[in-house]
Amino acid sequence: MENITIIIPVAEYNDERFANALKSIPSDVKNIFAVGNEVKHSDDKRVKIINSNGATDFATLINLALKECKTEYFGILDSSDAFTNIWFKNLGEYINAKPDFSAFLPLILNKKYDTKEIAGMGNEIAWASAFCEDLGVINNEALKNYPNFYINGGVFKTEDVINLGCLKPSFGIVSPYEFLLRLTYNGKKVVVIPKIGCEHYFGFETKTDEEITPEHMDWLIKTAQQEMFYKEDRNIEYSPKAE
Amino acid sequence: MEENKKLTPVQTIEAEIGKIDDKSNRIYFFVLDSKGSPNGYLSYIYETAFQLKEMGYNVHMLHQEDEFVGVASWLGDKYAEIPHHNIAKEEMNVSPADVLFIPEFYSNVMLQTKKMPCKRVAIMQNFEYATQVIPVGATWANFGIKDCIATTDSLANRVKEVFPYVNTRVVAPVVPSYFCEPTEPKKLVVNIVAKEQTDINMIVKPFYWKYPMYKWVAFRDLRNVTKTEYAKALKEAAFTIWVDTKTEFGYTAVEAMRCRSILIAKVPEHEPEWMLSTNDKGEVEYSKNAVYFFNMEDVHSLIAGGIEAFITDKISEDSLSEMKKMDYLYTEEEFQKNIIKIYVDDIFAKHRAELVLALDAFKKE
Repeated sequence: MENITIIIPVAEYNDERFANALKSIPSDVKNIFAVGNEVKHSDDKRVKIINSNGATDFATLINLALKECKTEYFGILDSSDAFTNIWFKNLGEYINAKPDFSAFLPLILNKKYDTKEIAGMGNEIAWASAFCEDLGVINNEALKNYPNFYINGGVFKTEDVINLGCLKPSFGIVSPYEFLLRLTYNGKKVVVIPKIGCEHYFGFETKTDEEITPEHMDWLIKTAQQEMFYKEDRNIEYSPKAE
Repeated sequence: MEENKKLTPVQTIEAEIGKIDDKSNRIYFFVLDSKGSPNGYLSYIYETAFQLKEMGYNVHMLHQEDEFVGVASWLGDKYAEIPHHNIAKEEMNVSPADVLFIPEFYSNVMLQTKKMPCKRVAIMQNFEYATQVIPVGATWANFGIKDCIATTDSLANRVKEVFPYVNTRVVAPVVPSYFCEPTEPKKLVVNIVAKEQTDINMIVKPFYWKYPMYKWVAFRDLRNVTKTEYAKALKEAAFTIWVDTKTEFGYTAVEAMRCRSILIAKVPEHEPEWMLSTNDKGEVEYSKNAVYFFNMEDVHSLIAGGIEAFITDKISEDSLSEMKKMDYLYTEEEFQKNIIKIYVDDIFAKHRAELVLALDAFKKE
């Protein structure tokens, strides 16, 4: 796994959760970038800390790390989450079998942080029979009908992502969706590996969660579908209609 | 069918022995029409016929269908290209050197061909089929059937039990080598191979009711696909559910295991040999090469358990290694050896010997 860099965007630092995330990255992954505003020094020698100079949004943190990424692939692991111990083995098999693919997403297991109770899954829809023509492979048309894919836990081809403009910070919480739309629109192949690769924890208090109205969310999703044609972030802003 | 014009008995028999020696005698296989639907029963007969054709024998397929669809679409052209004849419309010349293989289902053909000069051999693949058309009280003795080839030892024993005068041999089926371990990772798809739509409904619909968290899991019905599409589907899918309670061999099951598709199987009325194994205590038990169930109500929890094991990489290594043993059973090499051993060195050789005896008898006269 020397050709992968794991990027840990740290919107809000927590010792225990960060340590948990680090521990879940196997030892043969040699490159880890922890990027954020308040990342503390880590004893793990694989970790390079990148200061985000105040930025806490997901897209900006990822983009900052990508500027320094030299490996063929990079993965994303939120600082509150953890890879499962089966992920990298299956990822390796898929990368070998599908070297022309640009993105490999895992099945996500959503768990309550305090009780570890399972609350649902993510990305599984890619395997539903009517979702896409090729089971497990996300295409642009299917994405227009379903915006809820997680890219957390995913692994991507660095060059493809950089060439297509990386993530767009102005899309905030919807930046992963816009990113997947743009990837697939440009003919890049994205597969959801049918293995639980990442555990996403929730239920702890955070300072950085965006509060967003349903109308704003709808607007972001529709705008993402229009902006996917552009590599650059055109910083289009949401303006709610005056009452 | 018409019989050959008679020469002197000695000349006739000498000519017939000559035909056997130069393989110009005809080897006939009676078949039904698949109407384009794949089935293991027919593929066994065609595989046998093809092997003999490859060995230089003069093989012909016989049927009684006006609009014979054949096997080209699902088995392949090389099988469909074996000469086929509609005996309801064509006059066939049958000679003593010829051999006619009749599937167990066709007791009417056994009766119709009773007085033919050729050698006749029954092919037994399914005991229940043998009971379906034969009149009550009739036996193979009434039809002059003295030889049989069965596909399993169990079937052969059952033939011997009811028709002890029939000389029964076993030629196990072949599972082609294109049913093999895939090179790509498995997809989370559940194949279903079941003859009845009701079985498929009983599997899929209650599964989604009982396990709504898996409502995204795709099921795939493998009826009416070509053999190569079928093999591709087995290689792709993580699971194959197999329901066929009447089968004697279980082609799908062996094919699925060869393709490393985890088999969830309803135990048939007569368990195939590969389904059973002997443990350390000498007890016969169900093998670990698949997950077996008896009651359709139980299949849903097995599917759910399998899916959970698959997405968390907890499929048993023991199961996988037991499945790999299928790679060495029912191989093409073994089938060819058995064809030579049973058809060539046994049936055809004895047929020739019978004609030689008849020749000697006529010469003494």
